Amino acid sequence: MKLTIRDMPTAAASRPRRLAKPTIDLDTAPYAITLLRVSLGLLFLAHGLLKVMVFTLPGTAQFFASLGLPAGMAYVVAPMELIGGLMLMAGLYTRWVALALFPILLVATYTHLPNGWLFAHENGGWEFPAFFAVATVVQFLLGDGAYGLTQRLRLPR
Amino acid sequence: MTTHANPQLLTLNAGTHWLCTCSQSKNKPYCDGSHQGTPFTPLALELEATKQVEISS
Repeated sequence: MKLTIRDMPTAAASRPRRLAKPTIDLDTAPYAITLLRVSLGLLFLAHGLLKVMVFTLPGTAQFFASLGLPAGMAYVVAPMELIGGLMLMAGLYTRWVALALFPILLVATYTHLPNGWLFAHENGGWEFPAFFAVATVVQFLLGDGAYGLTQRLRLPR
Repeated sequence: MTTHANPQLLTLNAGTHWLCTCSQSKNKPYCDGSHQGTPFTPLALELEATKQVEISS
């Protein structure tokens, strides 16, 4: 008697994948994701602190108004940048935080449009906020990476 | 390479399956105790997950 034991053919098909094979090195990619996440988090935290500590919230509101944006946005954007930045650095719900921060950068890109594309132009061209915006979308697609807190919350042991 | 006649394809769940080796079973490929009085004992197939098992005699 001969026995041939095979995995269920449906086991592979049960989880549909967009690509048949991973196109990244799964050993190193989680650390690349973490590097992007912490960098973005620091950048958001710095911009949030700048708005709160240096410009102050009323000052930021004035600045927004001078750009033709609703002044009240300052009181939403600055806390979002602070909390979002900290959450990104902690790796807490990275995907959704990155997605939530994306519109801020779309508006930033839009407000920098009149300054030309080169980031070194006077008042800053749009290429930096545009790249920043793309990076948040990339982070949304990537998720937490290594050392994220979300995973620890999901698996309390 | 030996060719095995009448292969049987089964989907078996995790757990222990007793397979007939004495060929006396009325419930082949499973053991039904008919090996009593023969020198044969059933084969225990232990699966940790659901698998497709091909049995050739």
